[in-house]
Amino acid sequence: MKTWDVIIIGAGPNGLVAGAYLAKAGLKVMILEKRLEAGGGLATEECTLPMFLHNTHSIYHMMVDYAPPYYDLELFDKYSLRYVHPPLQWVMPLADGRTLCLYNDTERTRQSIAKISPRDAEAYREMSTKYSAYMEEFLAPATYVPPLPPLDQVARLEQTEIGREINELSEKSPKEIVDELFVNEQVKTLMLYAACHWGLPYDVPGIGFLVPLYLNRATNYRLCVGGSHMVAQLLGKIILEHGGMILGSNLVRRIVLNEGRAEGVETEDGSLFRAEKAVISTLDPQQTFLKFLGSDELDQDLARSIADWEWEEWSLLEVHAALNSAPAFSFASSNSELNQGLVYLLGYDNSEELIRHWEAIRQGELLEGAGFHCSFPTVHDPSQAPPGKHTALISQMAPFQLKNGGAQRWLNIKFKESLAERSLALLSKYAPNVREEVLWSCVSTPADVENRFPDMVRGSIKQGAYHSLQLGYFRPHESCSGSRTPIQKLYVGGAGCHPGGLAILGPGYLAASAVLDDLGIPKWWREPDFVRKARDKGLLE
Amino acid sequence: MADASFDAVIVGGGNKALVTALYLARYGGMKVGIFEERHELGGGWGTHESAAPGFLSNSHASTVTDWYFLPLQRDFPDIHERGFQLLHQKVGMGVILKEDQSCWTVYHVSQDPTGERTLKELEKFATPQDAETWSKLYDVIRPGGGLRDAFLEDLYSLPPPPGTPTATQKWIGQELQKPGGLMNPQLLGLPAIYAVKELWEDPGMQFLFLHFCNVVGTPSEATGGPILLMIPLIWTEMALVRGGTHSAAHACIRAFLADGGVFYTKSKVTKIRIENGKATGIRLADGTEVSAKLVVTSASPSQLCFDLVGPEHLDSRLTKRVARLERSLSCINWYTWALHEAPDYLAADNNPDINNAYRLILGSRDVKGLIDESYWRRLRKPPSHPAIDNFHHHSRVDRTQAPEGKHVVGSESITVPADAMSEREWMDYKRLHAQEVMDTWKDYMRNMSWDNIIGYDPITPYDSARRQSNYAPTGNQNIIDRFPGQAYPFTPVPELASHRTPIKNLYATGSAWGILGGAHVGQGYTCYKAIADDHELKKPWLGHPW
Repeated sequence: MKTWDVIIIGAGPNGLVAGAYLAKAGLKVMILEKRLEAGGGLATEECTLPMFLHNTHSIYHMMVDYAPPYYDLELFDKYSLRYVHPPLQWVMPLADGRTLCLYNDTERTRQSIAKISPRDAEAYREMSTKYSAYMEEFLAPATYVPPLPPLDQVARLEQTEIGREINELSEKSPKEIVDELFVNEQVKTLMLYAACHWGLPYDVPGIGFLVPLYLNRATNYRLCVGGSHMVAQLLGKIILEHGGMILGSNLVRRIVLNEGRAEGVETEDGSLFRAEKAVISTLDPQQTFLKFLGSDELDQDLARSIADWEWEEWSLLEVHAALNSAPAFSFASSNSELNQGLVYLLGYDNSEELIRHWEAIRQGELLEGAGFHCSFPTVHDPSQAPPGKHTALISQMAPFQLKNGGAQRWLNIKFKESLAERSLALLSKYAPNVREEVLWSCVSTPADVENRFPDMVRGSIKQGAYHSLQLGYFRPHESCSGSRTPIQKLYVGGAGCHPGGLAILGPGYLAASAVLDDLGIPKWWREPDFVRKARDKGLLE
Repeated sequence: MADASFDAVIVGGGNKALVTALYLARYGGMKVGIFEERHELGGGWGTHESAAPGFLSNSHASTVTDWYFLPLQRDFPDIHERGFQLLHQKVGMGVILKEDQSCWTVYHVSQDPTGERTLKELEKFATPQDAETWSKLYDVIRPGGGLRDAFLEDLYSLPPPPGTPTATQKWIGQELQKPGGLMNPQLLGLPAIYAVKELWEDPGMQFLFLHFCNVVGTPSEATGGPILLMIPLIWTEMALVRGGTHSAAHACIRAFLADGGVFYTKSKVTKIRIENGKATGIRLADGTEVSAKLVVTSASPSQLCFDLVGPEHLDSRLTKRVARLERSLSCINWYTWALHEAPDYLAADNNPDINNAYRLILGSRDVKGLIDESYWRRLRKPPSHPAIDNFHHHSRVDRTQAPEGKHVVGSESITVPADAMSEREWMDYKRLHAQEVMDTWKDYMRNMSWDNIIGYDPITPYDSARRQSNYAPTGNQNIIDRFPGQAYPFTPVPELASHRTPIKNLYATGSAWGILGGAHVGQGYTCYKAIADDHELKKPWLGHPW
């Protein structure tokens, strides 16, 4: 039996981050990964044609300016990681040929919106300033510290003006917030989509604080040069450099307990990996607690909570295409800069259509003509395709369980080809040259998301729904907040923990921190300034 | 990367290069840098989730054998704890004949140590004379057998000096002199499409052996008869790399890094620096210069001569020979399919073990039709409904290669080279051939239809040529075809066969070298042998047969 200091289950972004921090702290780290390649959601694959790199899961990295691992691990300075931050972040064409644009520059955005609605342009400017302040003061810091019990957090927020505004927003649903800010239908559509498309139910109150987060982040989407997997590769490199190990093609069967303490991990082929100091699971709560431990080992309340864990309302239906040339949007014919957007929101003329799409999803229906967003990463990073060629991603929200046929219906090549055809037809309405230019395409459906990443149950890209009983202190459960679990030496550090998914690297960072604290090993990194400032204001513990 | 220097630099991070690099680092004690133009190492040891998410597809090598990695396992025993593991299936190779679903299964040696099970199945499948021939052949290809020993010696040794027979040639010579031996002058001299009738009576056996010639890169209308005797070496010891063939690359990379090796991806090498007839380093596409005392390339022979070195440094006979290398005759379609249900072959009624075959030739008694396909290919027209062999169904024994309860299977056929059609034509052909495979499958399987297909990854020679520049322009995964005169011990051309080049301290390897293309470590290992000889490096093979 092989012995390590720490065994980490899952080499996704969080497992890799935790591994890198702990390896650099001098611990012997082993990461066991089910897939062949490490990286989890940081996946970049040649799924259409050779030399065309497709980001098959995470693509827009939204916390690059804040996430401590980028800086603590010197990914930019020492390891030459690069991102591009395209100035034109969102483009939404309107029926009359005009476009609504969001830029990473507030003033340019204001000017764009002003052509459609001067009133909303001003509202956007105010919102943008305000939400930046929320990010800086609280939302960003709170992402990278252990969560507080809700009452405690609410009380602390009441101490500052921004905090009070955040508390107030939290009570509202995303739709309410957007409707209060904006009057123009198309502006509302764009804002509601940008706020919710990562998995926020539009009409559910209690998670309103995520709206300023996602709207602020919506103009902070960055693409990793070389593809999302570059981050995984560098994290892996750091782990290996510091004596750690990552083994792919290993299915974990159970977490081994000894007198109630986590002692190691057993894989499906019977191999035992012993952990002297800690086991960290970065998988979803049900695999971690029910499969690897079993409800007999758990407190009843925890076991029940985890059994009732809610998966996400929708997953993603994606078409990846290899293109012979870049798309030429018809609305860009008089302004070619509009071909340089990062995200295009197509197919929704107003917010009613968007809401109808969400309601159809709730019924397990595939709505004919439903909108989607699409992106052409090679326009910003040519290295992701052969010279002169391009890649496309069409990403549409879709239910996991189809009313007609269930989830299995997704897993059919002819059905997938018809879905690709449908999506490309809609895209062609805006960019007529695209259809002809498609060399090959492949489709990933919600069922494929689950097949690719078994921790994304029912295609849940964040390992579980975002609602007030499954966020923050309750993610995955109040007895497991702060990365620790009721079981000694067992920690949790995946998207099913605070601060959640979307490759923001928080859960792994926090798990590493908790492990070192418990071992009495001083941390080799400093708390980021933006976190310290929030602490000084009393907003955090 | 700023200009740097190494003891040895490796151009290309494919599997042959990776193996040479491993030896140079560990046994040569060198500081080694690998420069690969793709975003990942491994080359032909490639695996992707491309048929459908959750389903692993080996983009090149999928079938390996127990003897593919022997030097690596001997000299780097730590690769096992670094994730390298071979798995086996009950039946290595099987063949089904369309006419009546009769079939033959060749069991893995662990399942059939004496060979009697395999023989018993052959007695049902072919003639009594064929069974007798197989019996004799089995004796020499099994572990411990004379032909196997000779073949492995050639695989893992530098070619002998010109005029000296190779180990296999010696064995053939001895066999020729034996009364009732396996070799006779006609079998020795005729191309395989004729010689196969010297060896086997049954058309089903003839079909099997000719198809397999094409599959291993020795086109049946050109290659010599002796290949027919060596082909079964692959069948009885068939294996798969757990996790997908690319896992072998992962394990090697981990060992390489642990030995202080360094690698760079997305770092295309454009030139080898030559000063006074000596290699002194390399230049990258971005202009970076890297100095080294030794340079090893795993580029194709034409890339080596025309791009990296430049014809001005080389003898014109050498460059003409390299330009003339035939590379078009064994280019493959290599499709991976993600399935709900595993194939259920009609032939299972005859032998249920056929459902456990991991390489399965979907054959017939129409030997002429098979031979005609070769001629269509020479005319650069893809044969309609070409012979298919299925491979890969690794998900049966390796749960990491498909989601629980689902299956992944590959289909292969021989087709025209990449440069026979345009990009658009190839994209159309991908779909056409997918339908051809489905049509063919229905002749052999009970349960196959488009409803069973979750997705498929259609790799054609055009894709192979694009994925790896050393396969370009034809997309031949073995780099070159092999037939007399363009075969071991002269591969790729006599001047380069020992891995040495006319440039001092420049060595070359890859699948175009050695006795056989494919994912084994032969040419990576023998390249190190040449370097070790020339530079007096450690020789871990001393005391071993090779």
